[in-house]
Amino acid sequence: MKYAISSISITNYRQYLGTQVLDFTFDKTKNVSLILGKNGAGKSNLLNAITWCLYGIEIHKSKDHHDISGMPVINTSALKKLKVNESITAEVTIHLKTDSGPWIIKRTLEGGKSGLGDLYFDDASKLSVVHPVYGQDKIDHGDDTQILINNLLPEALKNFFFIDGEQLREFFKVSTPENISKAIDIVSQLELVYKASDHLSKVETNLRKSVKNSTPQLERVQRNIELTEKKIEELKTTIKTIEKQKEKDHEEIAKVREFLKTHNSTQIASLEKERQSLETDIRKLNEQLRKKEYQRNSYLIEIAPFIYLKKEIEQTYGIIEEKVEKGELPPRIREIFIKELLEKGRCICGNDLVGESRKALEEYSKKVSLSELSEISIVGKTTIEDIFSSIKEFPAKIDAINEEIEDFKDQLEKKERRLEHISEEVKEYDVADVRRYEERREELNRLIAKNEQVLILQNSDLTILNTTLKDLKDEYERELSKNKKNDSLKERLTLVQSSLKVLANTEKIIKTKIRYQVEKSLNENFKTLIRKKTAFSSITIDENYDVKVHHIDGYNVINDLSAGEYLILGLSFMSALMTISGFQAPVIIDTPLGKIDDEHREYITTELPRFLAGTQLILLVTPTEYDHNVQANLSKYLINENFYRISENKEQTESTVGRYDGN
Amino acid sequence: MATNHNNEPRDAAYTKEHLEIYTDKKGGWLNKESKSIFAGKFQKDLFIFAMAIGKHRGKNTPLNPPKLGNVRVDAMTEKQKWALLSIGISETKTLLCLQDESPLYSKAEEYAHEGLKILISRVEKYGINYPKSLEAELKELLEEQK
Repeated sequence: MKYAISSISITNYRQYLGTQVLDFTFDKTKNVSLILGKNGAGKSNLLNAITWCLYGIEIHKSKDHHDISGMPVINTSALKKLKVNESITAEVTIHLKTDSGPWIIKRTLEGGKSGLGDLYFDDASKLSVVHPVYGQDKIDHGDDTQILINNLLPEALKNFFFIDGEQLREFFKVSTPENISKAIDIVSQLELVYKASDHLSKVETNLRKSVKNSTPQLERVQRNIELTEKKIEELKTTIKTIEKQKEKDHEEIAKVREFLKTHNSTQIASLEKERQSLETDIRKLNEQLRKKEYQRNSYLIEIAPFIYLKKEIEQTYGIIEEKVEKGELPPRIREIFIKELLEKGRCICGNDLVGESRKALEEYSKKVSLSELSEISIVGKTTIEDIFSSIKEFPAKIDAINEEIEDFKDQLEKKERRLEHISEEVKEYDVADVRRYEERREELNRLIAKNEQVLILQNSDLTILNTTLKDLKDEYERELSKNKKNDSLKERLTLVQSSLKVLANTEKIIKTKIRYQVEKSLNENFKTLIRKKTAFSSITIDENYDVKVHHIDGYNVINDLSAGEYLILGLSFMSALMTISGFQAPVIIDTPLGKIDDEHREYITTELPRFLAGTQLILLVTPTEYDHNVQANLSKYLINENFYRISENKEQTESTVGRYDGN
Repeated sequence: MATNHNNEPRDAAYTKEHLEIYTDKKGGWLNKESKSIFAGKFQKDLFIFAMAIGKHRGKNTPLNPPKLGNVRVDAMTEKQKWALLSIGISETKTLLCLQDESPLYSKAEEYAHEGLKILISRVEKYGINYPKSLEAELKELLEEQK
């Protein structure tokens, strides 16, 4: 179902005191709405209001209701004005225009001042939805109403439509394959498959426990199965925890690098820029080294058999050469012709083949027995001559490859030494903050490297445990088969296990297919949005969910993009996920153009509305982002009534939002 | 060029005990992500390599069943085929063995069977330095044969 937001009404929510209403007119060609506001004025809280209304979650915060130690959801000025025993409600209402009629989604949170003068808040917010059913408006309340919202846009997909611009820019800077896998998992909408698998796994466990005609052996195997399953679950939890920690560490390192790069000391900023440039060079050199070592190994694998078998190959060549020199190869007369003459018993001259003449011909027949092997032997001779050439050039060729390898290693060593010097210089800098960040950076690198090693080991253990579990289950079935009374149980168990296999295969097939589709869509979107169209050849997502951006020179440059290019990569990816998800919801982006250069800013604002033509696009921008060029580019897609501005009071504690005429 | 070999078998075989080594899977020798010298290579490359080591060391044993005919002969290069055929030709001292190549492939399987065991122990011994050790060995062989 396609839908657009026709209005948002916010009452006493966060810094918005009283009721603020934003009405939007949606047009397929003029699909952009703008909300202008300085940093901290309340743009992000407008996005939060929308996700809070729909899902009870503020996209910039992690919990539903207020954190007791933080700002409450209900506007604090409104709370201050409360008298004893008075209550107040924070409310966000979204009106949607859908294909089947208008929807109204309302979420409220009540609070108040008790008789003792303490502030209180309801534990949970309340959701109500008015939606058309067979031409009539139906009102639904309560927790089950969430299902209606999830039919419009599942909560798991919200981050792909309601986008934090900064997170979008950082997505591929800090992203791990696990994040990419998770995102693709979400749009694959495999929840049903996972639920079915979970349910069937429980059925399988219960079936095994229900066996009536048990034996000590069977019980032993059953215990081992339960033990192994428990170990697997524990290991999976550990792996998840480590992956989460890795993700956090990556995010933190990105922040540390940014801090040092933008430090107001030119020395530190310059050292950090040099370091990041060296890291890029080292990555490229490592890739070149890897390729050269692969080339060396491939060459060794190819040439080694010929050198090991040189004696045999030379003997073969000798045998063929001898036959050629004797005139036996290729033979002057084919063997089959001689055999036919002998069978007929008559020569071509008409004389009978008897006595001495027959004997002579029989002798000659033996000599030309190689005639059928003539062609293959000549091919063999030529091929072996090729082999000899390959062997002859081996010493020089392998030395040349090794020289190139040593050269790469030398360059790497030099750059790594320089990296160490930079780190020492930064650690000795006379500003405590800088030293602290540098030490933290080193610590994070160590932690990430350590966790990567731990993950490799844990995943290897998981593979072993899964193999053990499979063997135990096979053993269980064999034990079960020993007693005919267990036949019916065995049959049911087999059915459940087959179903689990089918589900596992289905999951694999769907995920692979979706991954290919995301990759294809990502490439198309990126090519449309990127300014340097000829610099990049392709983007790939491999089976481990590693994303690579391939430069035309062959390098993977995913770690070396500019801020604008990261934003475009993020947008392209989100857009691919949006398309594949099949949901046709509005797209809201908070601060889409921050920290990117003018050229990219201009290019994105020209291409993005066209790229998302037919989709309602609401942009929350700062005055800095909304420069003259951006204004000019977006004006073609903007209906004036859809332009709003957030204003703050003098104390900057309250915000209001109203229509903006651009002045 | 396409060449008509006589009674060339469709596959060459190895024993089930070597299936793990010949399988391209995560952590396996042939897997492109592995650090092995064979990373990204194919079964036929491993087979020919093992066969050459086996013949060079003069070790061959018949394959224990079950045999797995997983090495496609049509995937081999002409040079690889002639390295294999040269074993049979040098042993029989005649080209007539090319009239039926099937027994030559069976002999190659026996050399590959033993050769792989030797290769496994070498790779275990030298680890990531195996390519260097192999290179040194090949250079030494060429020197000896001058």
